[in-house]
Amino acid sequence: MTIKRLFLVSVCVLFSILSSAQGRYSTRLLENGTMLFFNPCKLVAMQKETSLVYDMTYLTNSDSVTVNMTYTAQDLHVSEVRIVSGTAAYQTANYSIFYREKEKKGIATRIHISCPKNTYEDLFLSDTPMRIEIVSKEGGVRSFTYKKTKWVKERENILEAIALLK
Amino acid sequence: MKKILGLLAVGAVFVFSSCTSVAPVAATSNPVGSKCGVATETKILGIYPLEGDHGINKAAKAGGIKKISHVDVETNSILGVLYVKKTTKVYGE
Repeated sequence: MTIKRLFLVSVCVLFSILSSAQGRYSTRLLENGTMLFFNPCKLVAMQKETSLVYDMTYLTNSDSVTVNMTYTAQDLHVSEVRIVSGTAAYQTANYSIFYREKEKKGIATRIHISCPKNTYEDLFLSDTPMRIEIVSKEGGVRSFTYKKTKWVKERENILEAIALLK
Repeated sequence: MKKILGLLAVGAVFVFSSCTSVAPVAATSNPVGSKCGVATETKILGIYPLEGDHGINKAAKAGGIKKISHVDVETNSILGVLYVKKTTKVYGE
């Protein structure tokens, strides 16, 4: 097979993979409202040997949004979590740990935080890709963010999903 | 031109033979919970796992869920076995 044909076939396969990607969120009816669950999203690490995957749960009958994240690094202890986008920011040392597990690439820590709903929605109004920062007790800061093109689509999806519930 | 159209037709076959489905796994008598946890397994050619564990326990731990209300599994596949991604979603409190 020539290189040109191989390239065209690869593009067709890649397109099919992208077009079959699962939906960004799912909804559930609860006794007192509706739950919107945004599927896990892996952010781009701005330093080596770390990774962060996060998901969000938005409840119409709550004042806060639940953000759960799996942070994998050599660091063991988390001091603070920050979420920043443009001029909007949220930081908290009030988090809980669901579990810590040893993995090939380091220690995976499952972190849970609650962010006030208004602050959280403001984070998706900015053109600047959102950044999640994990501050360790040793003082190091690990940053994770979106690629610009992915942020544009993400903002659109999330704001649209939230608007549909209001 | 004919070759390009042929390749596009092949691509269309790939697109229409990929699918996403959601199936129930379990439901309990607990009320629908406000928490959700997810675990994913991805395989290529049915044998090579890119991510390995989509069990209920892993999904429940990910969501901090101690009382399960119901469990669904979402399957995304291309040509059946070429690429398969299974996501278990656990809902509860």
